[in-house]
Amino acid sequence: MILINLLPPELRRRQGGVSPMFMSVVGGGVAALLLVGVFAYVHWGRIPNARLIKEAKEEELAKKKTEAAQVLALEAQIAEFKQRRNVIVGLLAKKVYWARTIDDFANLLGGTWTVPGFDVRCLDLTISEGGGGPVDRTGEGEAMVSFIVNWKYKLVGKERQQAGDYIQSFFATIKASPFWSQQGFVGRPEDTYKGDQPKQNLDIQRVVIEGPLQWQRVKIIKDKTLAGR
Amino acid sequence: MAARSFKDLNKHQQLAILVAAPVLVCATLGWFIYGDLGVLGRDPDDHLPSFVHRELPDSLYTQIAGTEQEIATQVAICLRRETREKELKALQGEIAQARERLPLESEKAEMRKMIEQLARDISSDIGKVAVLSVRIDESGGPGSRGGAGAGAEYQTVTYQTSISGDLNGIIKYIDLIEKNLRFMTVNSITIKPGGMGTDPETHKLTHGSHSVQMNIVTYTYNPALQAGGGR
Repeated sequence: MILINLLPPELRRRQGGVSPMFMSVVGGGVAALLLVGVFAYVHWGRIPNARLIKEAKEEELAKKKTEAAQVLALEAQIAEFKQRRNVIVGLLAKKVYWARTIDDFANLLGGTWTVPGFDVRCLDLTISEGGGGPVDRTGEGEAMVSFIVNWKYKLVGKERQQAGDYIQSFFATIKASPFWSQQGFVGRPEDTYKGDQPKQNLDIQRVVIEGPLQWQRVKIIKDKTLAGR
Repeated sequence: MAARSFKDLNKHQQLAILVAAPVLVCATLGWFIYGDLGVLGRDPDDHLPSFVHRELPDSLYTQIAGTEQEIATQVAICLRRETREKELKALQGEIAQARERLPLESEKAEMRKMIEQLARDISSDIGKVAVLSVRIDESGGPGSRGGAGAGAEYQTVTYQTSISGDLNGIIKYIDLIEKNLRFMTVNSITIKPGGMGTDPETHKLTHGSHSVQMNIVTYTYNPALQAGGGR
């Protein structure tokens, strides 16, 4: 049997495949719709959501920053204290005490001498910081604070002929005393002794010997870093 | 009219328009989506497939990640709170003492009062001492730190004090200064012994008061100088 299609060509059913026009309309439409969907999801869904998260995080950050600032303030307080304590420790390391030294000195002068028959008076005493602060003993890991003690002695003895004995006893007693050995004096007491001229005081029938002395007292600071504080 | 015009076109032209129009629409939408993906950034929760992630320095999720990192830093600091509070509580006594020993202010009026008060505190059975004058010298300047890059941590104020008294009183006075809670040192002393004589009535030996010039040095803590000290 032969079938004859009498329809005009434009109305005849397409024999093979889908019409390209149909395909482009449908395909284009579907793709556009899909993209509109994606755009809507991103633009009105994900971005506002991300903005909300960002705001929440910023709020949380502000709160944490306030809390952290309090902790940092505590730490600053502790650090400030520690630095101040270090300064105090440094100052203490350099501190030289004089009350006991002067007391020991007074007791020494008023005490007994290895040779009897004379007394000693201090006519003048000046203590001053020497060397302009701590002296760095580089290489030894130490530093020292130095003081100069200038004083004028007056020996009053019974016998003119024993002036030399008095002087010798005077220095020997000082050298052997705890005052000299424990208070940080350096060298020997007679290091700056320049001699003397005994004078006989006829009013009191005593020989008088006067002269200046200069001593150095040092304090060794074992930890050199403390000396600089 | 447009439809009629479209019909008037030949098949190839119609097909070209039908292909070009969706492509144009899709490209426009793609452009907008591309821009939005840049605004959004890399979503860590993967609500979008990773191949469409687009990360820019000012993307929302980049900013969120930066904020989260900052939060983590702040949280790490906050975690130290308990330890620091305990540490500070344990140090309270020492801190108060340190502030008293080495104050921030020179407190000259208080010091002047204290210098006199210490002399008054010495009982007559120990000795006698009287403050004659006090002169304040602030030229001492900042104390120096040793070592390289030395700066300064404290400043000194010197009270040039003139006193008179007997030896026991003077020694006790120096002792009170040296052992005072407020950090003070005596860095210079000049003692002129008082004259000796005899009492015309009792014929006993009498000692005049010794006169003493001494420098009492006080210290004030100077954290500002310390910070600028190049440490």
